[in-house]
Amino acid sequence: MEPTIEVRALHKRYRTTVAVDGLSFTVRAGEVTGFVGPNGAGKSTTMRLILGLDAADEGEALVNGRPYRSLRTPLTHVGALLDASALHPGRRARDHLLWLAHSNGIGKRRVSEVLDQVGLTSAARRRAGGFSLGMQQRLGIAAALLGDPPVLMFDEPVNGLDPDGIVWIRGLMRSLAAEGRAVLVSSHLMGELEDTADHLIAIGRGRLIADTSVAKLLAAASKDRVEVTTAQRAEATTALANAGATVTVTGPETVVVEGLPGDRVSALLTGAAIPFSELRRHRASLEEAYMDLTRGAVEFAPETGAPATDGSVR
Amino acid sequence: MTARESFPRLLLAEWTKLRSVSRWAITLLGAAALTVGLSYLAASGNKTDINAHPNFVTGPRGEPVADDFYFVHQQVTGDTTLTVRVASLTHEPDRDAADMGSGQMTKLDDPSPFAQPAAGIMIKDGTRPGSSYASVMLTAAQGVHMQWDFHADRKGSTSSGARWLRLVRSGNTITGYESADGVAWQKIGTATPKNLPSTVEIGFYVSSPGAVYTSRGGGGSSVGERPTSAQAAFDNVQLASGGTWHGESIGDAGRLSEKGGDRGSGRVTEANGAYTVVGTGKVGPQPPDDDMVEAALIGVIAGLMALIAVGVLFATSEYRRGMIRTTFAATPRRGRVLAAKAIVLGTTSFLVGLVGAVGSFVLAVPILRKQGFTAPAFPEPSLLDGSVLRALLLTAAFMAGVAVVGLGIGVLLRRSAAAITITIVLVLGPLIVGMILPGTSPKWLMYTTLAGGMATQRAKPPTITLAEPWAMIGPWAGIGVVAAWVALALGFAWWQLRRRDA
Repeated sequence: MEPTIEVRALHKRYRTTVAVDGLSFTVRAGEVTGFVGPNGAGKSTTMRLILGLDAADEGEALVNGRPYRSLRTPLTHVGALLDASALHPGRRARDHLLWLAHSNGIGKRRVSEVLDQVGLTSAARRRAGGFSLGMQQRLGIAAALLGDPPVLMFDEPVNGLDPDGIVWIRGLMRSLAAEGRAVLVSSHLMGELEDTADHLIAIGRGRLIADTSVAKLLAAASKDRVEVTTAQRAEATTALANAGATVTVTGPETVVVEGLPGDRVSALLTGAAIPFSELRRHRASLEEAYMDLTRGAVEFAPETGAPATDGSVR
Repeated sequence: MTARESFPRLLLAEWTKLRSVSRWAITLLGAAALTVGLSYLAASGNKTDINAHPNFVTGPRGEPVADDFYFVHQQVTGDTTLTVRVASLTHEPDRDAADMGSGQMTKLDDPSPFAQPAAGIMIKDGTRPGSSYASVMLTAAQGVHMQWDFHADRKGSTSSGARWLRLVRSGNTITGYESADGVAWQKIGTATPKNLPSTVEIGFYVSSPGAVYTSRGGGGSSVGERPTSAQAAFDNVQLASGGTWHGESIGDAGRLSEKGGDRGSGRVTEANGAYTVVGTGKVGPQPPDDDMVEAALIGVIAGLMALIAVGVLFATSEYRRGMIRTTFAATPRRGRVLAAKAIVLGTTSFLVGLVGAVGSFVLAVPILRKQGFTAPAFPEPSLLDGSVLRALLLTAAFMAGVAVVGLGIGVLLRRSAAAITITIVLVLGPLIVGMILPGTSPKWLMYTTLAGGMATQRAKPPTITLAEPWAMIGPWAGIGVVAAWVALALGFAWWQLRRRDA
C-alpha cells in the first residue's frame, strides 16, 4: 500500500475559535507536498489532529489508512517535527533520541545513524537546551527520521536554519520523496517551498483554498506573459499598449506584457524600431502564483464565504 | 526495521527520561542524603532517662514488664499439680473516670489479653517482680488464657462463669488445663518458662491493670494511670503437697498497699476452704510507647520533600515546552505512558527511600543508644527484626507513594510550583493539624490523608498516648491510605489525559 496521509472533512474548534473547518486533502507518496497558509490558518492544528494529539470534533485523519492513535509503533509509520523546542533542555541530544527509540522498540544503533544523518554526531553529548534553534531543528528532524517512516511531516522546518541548513533540508526532503515517501511540509512563506514542493495544499481560516500540483499552478500563473528588456521602456510601453496589451513596468529596463503572444510583441517592437535586448516568457514565482491564488481568499474573504478558487487549478 | 512495541520498552523509555536529566538524578541522591542526614542530626538531640526512672521491672528476657498482683502462694519443689475452681470474678467499675480532667482525658482501651482483670493460678520463680512464671487464668471479658514470661499467650475457652483451672509441672514443662466441672479437662497449652528452678512458688492470684488515661494535642501528650482492683472467689483448692497458704502483694501492688490507700491494697480471707482474694496491678509486657525505630527515621520527612519535587517535575516538565506532544506522538496510548511513568518513578523512589531509611537506621540507632535508648526499656533493634524490616520497607513504600501522588497532581495541574506546594501541603497539613487537635480526633485525619503514611515508620503497635497523631493508626493502615491516594491521583490524571488535547 502506498504511504499516504488522508484528511477527511476535519473540524476542530477551540472554545470560540474554529481552527479547522471541513478540511479534506490527501498527501501522496513520492512527493513533497507543501502545506501553506498564513499564520493562524490552521496548519499546525491539522498536523496535531493527524498525530492524534488533539481530538477532532468531526471528520478523520488517516495515516496509511489507519487512525494515528491505533498505531502501536507510530514512529515507524510517521515521523513528525512539530516544535523543535519540545524537548527537555537538561537532556543530552542522544538521550532525547534514546528514550524515543526505546518507546517504539527501535534499536540503539539507529540513534547514532540519525544523529549522523542530521550532522549532530559531535553534539550528541551536549544538552539540548544549549542548542541553537537550527541545531534543535536538526535534532527534531533526527527524531522524525528515527523510525525510518514512510510518511514524514515537518511544521515550519526551515525556521532558524542558516542558509547551509536551508539548502540541506531542501535536499533532504527531495531525497525522502525520491525514496517513495510521502512528505508534508508546512510553511507560511511560499518562497521557502520554491524548488522543493511538487504539490501544494493551501489553506486559510481552516479551509482548503487550493490543492494543486506546483507545475500546473506555475503554468497557470505564467500564461501569456512576456518579459521585455529594453533601453526605450517608455516607447515600448506606448507601442504595446496601443496594440491592446496590458503592460506592467517591473524594472528600469523591463516591462511585463500581458495579452499578446511573444511573436506579436517581437513583431510590434521591431516594426516600431524599438531595440530590445531580451524577450522571454515570463515565469511566475511561486510567491506570485500563490498571491494570485489567494488574493481575496484569505485577507478579504467574508467570514462565511466559500473559498475563492480558480477553476483551472482546483 | 524490526521495531516492536512492548510495555517493558516503554518502561525503559521513561527510565531513560528520568535518569538523563542530571538535576533529577542529583535530587534523588539528595533525597536519600537528606533523609539520612536529618535522621542523624535529630538523633543527636533525642535523649531519654526512662531506664534511670523506670515505670517497669525487667522481665526474664531483659525486657520491660509489669509484674503487679496479689498472690496467695506456697513453696513447692519438683513436679506438682495445682487445681482450683474460680467461683467468681468481679472487678470494680471505673467510678472516678470523671475525675480525670473533665473530658480532656481519653481512657485507653487496651485489648491485649495481658491488660484484663484476671483470677488464676500461677507457678513462679520466687516472688521477685519480673521473675519467670506460667499461669492459667479466667479473665473478666476474654475468657480463659494461659500465659508465661510476660509475652506468651494461649487462648482457652471463652467461658465467663465459674471455671476449674489446673497447672501441672513436669520437669521444665508446665501444662495448663481448664474444666467446667472438675471432671472433664481440656488442655490449653504447654509452657517452658525461661528460668524455673526446682523450688518455685505456686498458688492463686488476682490482678487488675490500672485504668490508663491520656491527654494529647497542642503538640504534646500526657498519660495518667489510676489503680483498679478485682475480687475473686477460689474454692476446691487442691495441691498435692498441701502446705500453708501465704497472701502477698507482688511488685508495685505491694508498695501501693503499704502507703495505706484502700485502692490497690490486696488481701485474702478464708472461710471453710474457700478463699476471697482482692488484687490490683498488671502482669504483662510494659514497653514504653516511644518507638526507637520511628525516632531513627525522623529525616524521612525531609527526603520526602525532595522526592515530591522529582515526582512533580517528572510530569510537569513534559508540559513546560510541549514535550508531552513528542511523548504522545511516540506512544498514543496515554494510559500506558502514565502507568510507565508511575512505575519507573515509584520503583526509583522506593529504592531511594529504602537507602534513606536503612541509612538512617544504621546511623541513628547507635547515636540513640548513647543517649539512653537502651535495654531494658529499649532492647536493641536489629535490621532483621520483622517489625524493623516492615517499618523500613513500608517507609520506603510510603515515600514512593507520595512521589507518585506528586506525579499525578503534576499531570493534573501541569504547573510545577502549584503541584509541589499542594502535594507538600497534603502531607504536612494534616500532620500539623493532627498535632494540635486533642484526643483521638486526629485518628480520622490519619485514616484519610497522606499524613497517615507516617504510621509506616513505627515498629511498635499503635497508641493514642503520643503527641504524634500518626502513632494512632497501624503501619498497614498507613500504607493503605497512601495506596488509596496513589489510585485516586493516577485515576484522575488518567481521566484528564484521555479527555484533554495534548
